[in-house]
Amino acid sequence: MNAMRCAALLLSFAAVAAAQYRIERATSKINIDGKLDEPAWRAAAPAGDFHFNWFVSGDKEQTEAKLLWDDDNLYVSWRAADRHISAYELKRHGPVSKDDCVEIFIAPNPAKVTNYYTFEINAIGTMLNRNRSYWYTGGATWEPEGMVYRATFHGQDKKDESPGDRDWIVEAAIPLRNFSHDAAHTPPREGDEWRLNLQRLGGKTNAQASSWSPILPPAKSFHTPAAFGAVVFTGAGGGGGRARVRPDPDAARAGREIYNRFCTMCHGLDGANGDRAPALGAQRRYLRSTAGDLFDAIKNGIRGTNMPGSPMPDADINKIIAFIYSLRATAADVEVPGDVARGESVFHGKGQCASCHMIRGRGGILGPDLTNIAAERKLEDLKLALTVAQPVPPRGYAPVEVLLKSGARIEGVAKNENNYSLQVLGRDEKLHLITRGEIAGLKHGTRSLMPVDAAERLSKDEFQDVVAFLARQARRFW
Amino acid sequence: MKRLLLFCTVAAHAQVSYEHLKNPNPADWLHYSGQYHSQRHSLLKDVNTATVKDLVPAWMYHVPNSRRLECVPIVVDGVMYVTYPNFVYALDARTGRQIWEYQRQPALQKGPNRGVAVYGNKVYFGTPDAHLIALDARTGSELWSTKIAEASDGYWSPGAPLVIKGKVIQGIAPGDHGLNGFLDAYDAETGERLWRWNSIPKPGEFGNDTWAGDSWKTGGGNTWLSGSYDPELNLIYQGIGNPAPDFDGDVRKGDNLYTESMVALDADTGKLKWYFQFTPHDVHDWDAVEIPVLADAPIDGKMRKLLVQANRNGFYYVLDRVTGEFLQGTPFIKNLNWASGLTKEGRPIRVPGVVPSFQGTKTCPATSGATNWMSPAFNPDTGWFYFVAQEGCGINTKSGDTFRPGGFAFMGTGYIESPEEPWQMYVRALDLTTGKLMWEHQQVNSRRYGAGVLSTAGGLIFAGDDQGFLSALEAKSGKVMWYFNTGEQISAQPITFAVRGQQYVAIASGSNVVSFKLHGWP
Repeated sequence: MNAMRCAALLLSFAAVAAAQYRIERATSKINIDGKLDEPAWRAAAPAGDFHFNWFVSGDKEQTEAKLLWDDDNLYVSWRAADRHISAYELKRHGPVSKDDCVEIFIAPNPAKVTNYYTFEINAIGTMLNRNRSYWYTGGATWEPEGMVYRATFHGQDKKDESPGDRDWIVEAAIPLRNFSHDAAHTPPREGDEWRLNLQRLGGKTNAQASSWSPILPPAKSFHTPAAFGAVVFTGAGGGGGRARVRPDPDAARAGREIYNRFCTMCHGLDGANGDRAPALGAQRRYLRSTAGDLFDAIKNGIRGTNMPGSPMPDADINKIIAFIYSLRATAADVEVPGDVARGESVFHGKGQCASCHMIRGRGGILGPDLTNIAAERKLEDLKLALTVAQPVPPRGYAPVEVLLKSGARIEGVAKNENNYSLQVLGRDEKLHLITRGEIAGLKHGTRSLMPVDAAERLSKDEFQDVVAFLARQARRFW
Repeated sequence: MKRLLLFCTVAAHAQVSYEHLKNPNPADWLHYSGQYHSQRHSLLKDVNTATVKDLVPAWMYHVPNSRRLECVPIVVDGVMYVTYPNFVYALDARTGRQIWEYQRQPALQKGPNRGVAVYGNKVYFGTPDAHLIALDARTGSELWSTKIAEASDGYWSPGAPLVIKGKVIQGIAPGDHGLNGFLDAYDAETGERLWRWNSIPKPGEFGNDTWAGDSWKTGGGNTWLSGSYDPELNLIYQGIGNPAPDFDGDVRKGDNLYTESMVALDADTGKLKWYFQFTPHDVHDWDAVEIPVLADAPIDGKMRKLLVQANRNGFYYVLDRVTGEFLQGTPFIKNLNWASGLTKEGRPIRVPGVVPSFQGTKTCPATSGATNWMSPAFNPDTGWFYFVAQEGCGINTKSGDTFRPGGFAFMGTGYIESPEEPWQMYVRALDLTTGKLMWEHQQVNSRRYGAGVLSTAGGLIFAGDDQGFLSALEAKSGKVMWYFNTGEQISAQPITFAVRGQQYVAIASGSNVVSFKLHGWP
C-alpha cells in the first residue's frame, strides 16, 4: 500500500471513529495525591471505554480516564483495572512502558497533530517524556516544567504482582505553560480544541495495550497522531464528557449501500428492524456502542447470538460504522436540500411558525424555542413534528383551560402542574400562577397545540425550505 | 405509662439490644422499614388528622456534594444516622446538628446507599466497594470492616442491613451485571461471616436444573433491598432480584430459581425454609425485592400469619409466611398486559407474545415496575396496605449480549417509556387480604419512582413524590391533609420519631434531610 492511500484511509477512519471529549473546568481544588476523591474528579465525566486495538487474547482490563483544567494546569487521571500489577523501572526516562503504565500524548494544535508531547508513567511513579514537535531540538527526551503527579505505588522501589491486585491510579497536573509553543492560547479559552490520546500498556501477566481514541488497522503504534481524539475546553458545568460524533457523509453513503447489500438478511433496510435482528437505527442501547465495539461486532460477530463475523475488508466495515452513526445523527449533522433563506421567511411568514416558536430571540413563546433544535433532533423527527400529531403533549406544553373562582378564564399551556398548584403560560403570553383552591374548573387538552398540517398548508418547496432552515438551527459544538 | 416513661428518657446513649430491635420504643426508628415486620406503621399520634395542619419544618440537614439521597434515617435515643454512599452522618435528631461524620476511603463512586442498621453500640452499613462496616455509634470510629464480595467484579452493597440476634444480615447488588446474588450473616461483634445463602443454586443443588446449560453461572438474582423477619418463626424473608441477562430469556431457558422469588431463610443457619417464585423465567427485569410486609389477619375465618407484597410485575400477593403457600393474588394496576391472571398456585398465566423483541414490545407495567423499592406500609387500624403504584407501559427490546467480568451491564438490551402510555404515580390503599382497591391518590405529574409511604396511629399516610412534595393523606380516605415542597425530587422513605416527647416526621429529599414538627417555636 502506498503512503498516500494509507494516509487517506487513516483519515477516513479518524473521521468515523476518533474519540471526542469536553474537558470541563475544575470546580474544586485538586490535590495531586493519587486519590481521586475531590468533588471535581467525582463530577468529571469519564472519557469512555478504552479500545483494544490489536487485541489477540487475554482479559481486557478497562481504564477510566478523566480530564479537567484550570488557568494553570491540565489535570489527568487514570484508574486502571488490573489484577496483575507490576512495575520495576526507576530510572527517569527509562523504558516505563514495559511496566504497567499509562500515557497521554497531547497535540495542542489540532491543525498540527504531529507536534505532540508525551507523558508515560508507570505504577511506581517513574516517568518518561518526549517532545515530538518539529521545533524541539532538545534530543530524545524532554523535561516538562512544574509537573506534579502521583501513582498508587509511588516511591516504592518495585511493585510485584500480588493476589490482592485490583486497580491502580495515576493523577497528574501538567502546567499549561508547557504547551504555549503550540497552543492557540495559554491558558486555553473555552471552545479551544486540542487533540490527544490516552493509553494503557505493559505489565508481565496479561499485558495490556489499549487507547481511548481507537487506532484502527493498519496503524500499529500509539504514535499515530492522526488517530488522536478531539477535546474541547469548556467552562464548569459545560457538559463535560463525550461529545457527539460527527459522521462523514461520504463514508455514510457508501456504508449504506454496503449495509443494504450485506446486512439485510437479518437487519432491516436502512437501519430498520429485520426479522432476525434489531433495528440499528432505533434510539436504543446499541447506539451507545463505540465505533470500536461496532467494528469488533462486524468483524468477529457477537458471541451467543446469530450475529456472524464478516470477511469484508476493514475499510468497508468502517463505512458501515459511518452509516450506523449517521442513523443517529441529528438534523445539523446531515445534508438537507432546500433554500435556507427562503425557509426562514416561510418560518416567520406564511408558515406562521414564529407565532409560537422563537429562534434567536425572534418569535412567539407558547411553543419551544427552536434556536438549537437541529442539534437536538433528527431530521426525520423535525419532519414528523410538522406532519404527525404526537400521542401525548410534551411536558411543559400541555394545553389547559382553567376557569377560576373569580370568573376569569385562562387558556394556555401548563408549564408545570402538581396536586397543589398550576403554572400556566396563557395565550395572552402572560404567566398565570394558580393554586388548586382558586380553580373552579380545569380541562386538559389531549393534543399538543402544534399544528401538523404544514405539508398541506405549504407548497412542496416551501415545506422543504422550512425543513432545511430548521435543520441549520444549532449552536454547534464543531 | 410505660411508654410515657420511655418518651421522657433521653439517656446519654443506650445500647440497642435484640429486645429493643424486636419491640422498639415508638420514639425510635430502628429499622429500614420501622420494625422487623416492615409495616412502617408508627404508634406516635401527636401528629394526627386534627393537628397535621400545624406541622412545620423543624430543621434541614444538607449532605455536602450529595444528590438523590435514598437513605432512611435511623433514630436511636435522639441520635439520627443518615447515609450517602461512602458517608455516614450522626445528627442531633432534635436540631439537625452534626455530631460526627464518617467517610470511607478510598471511595468508589457507586450508589445509592439506603441507610444503616444499629445494634449494641454499633452502626452498620454497606459500601460501594462491597464491604460491611461497623462504626462506634458515639464517635463514628471504624471498628471493623469485612469484604462481602469483590468490588472489582462489579459488586456493591447498597441496602440497609438487618440485625437479628447478634447477626448482621446483608445483601448485595447488582442484578443486571450477570453477577450471582446471595444473602450473608456476619457476627455483629467481629464481622466474621457466619453463613451465606446463594440465590442461584449450583450444580447438584435443588433448582439448578431451572437454568439451561451454564446460564446459572451468570444468573443474577441479587438482594439489594432489606428484607423482613419474624422472631417467632425465626425466619428472614428476602425478595430476590431479576435474572440476567434481563431481557433475553433465550439463553437461560427454565424458571431460573430463585430469581423473582420470596425466600424464607432460617436466621440461625441461612437454610432455605420455603420459596415462592412470583415471575418464573422473567424477561422484564421485574425484581421481586419489594419490601415483604408481615401481618396477621383472618382468611376464611381463620387467623393466618401472612406475608404480602405488591410486586413489580403488577400483582399483589398474599402468602402464608409459615409455609409459603399462595393464598391470593390480584392485579393492582389497571393496565397489565403480560399475564391474564394467576393459577391457583400463584403462577402467572402468560399472554403469548408479550416478551421483549427486536422490534420492541409494548409491556404493561413497564420495566420500571408497577411498583419498585419505594416502601409500602400497613395500618392495623384500617387493615389496609398502602403503597405507591406506577401506571403506564414500556417498550421492551432485546438483543444478544455477552457477559463480561468486571461489572459491566449484562442486560440483553432494555426499555423505554411507551409514548402512548406515559407513566403516572399513585398512592393506593388495598384491603390487606383481598387486595381490593379502597382509594387512590394520583400524584399529578409524578412519574419517577423511589418515594414511598409511612403510616401512623394518627390516621395519616405520609407520601413523597418526584415533584419534591411530602404530603399527608388521611388513611381512611386518601384526602390530602397537609403538604410541603421540599424543593428536590424525593427518592426516599419517610419516618417518624420522637425526642423528649416531641414527635417529628423526617425524610431525605434530594441532597437534604428535612424534619418537621408541630408548631414552630419554641
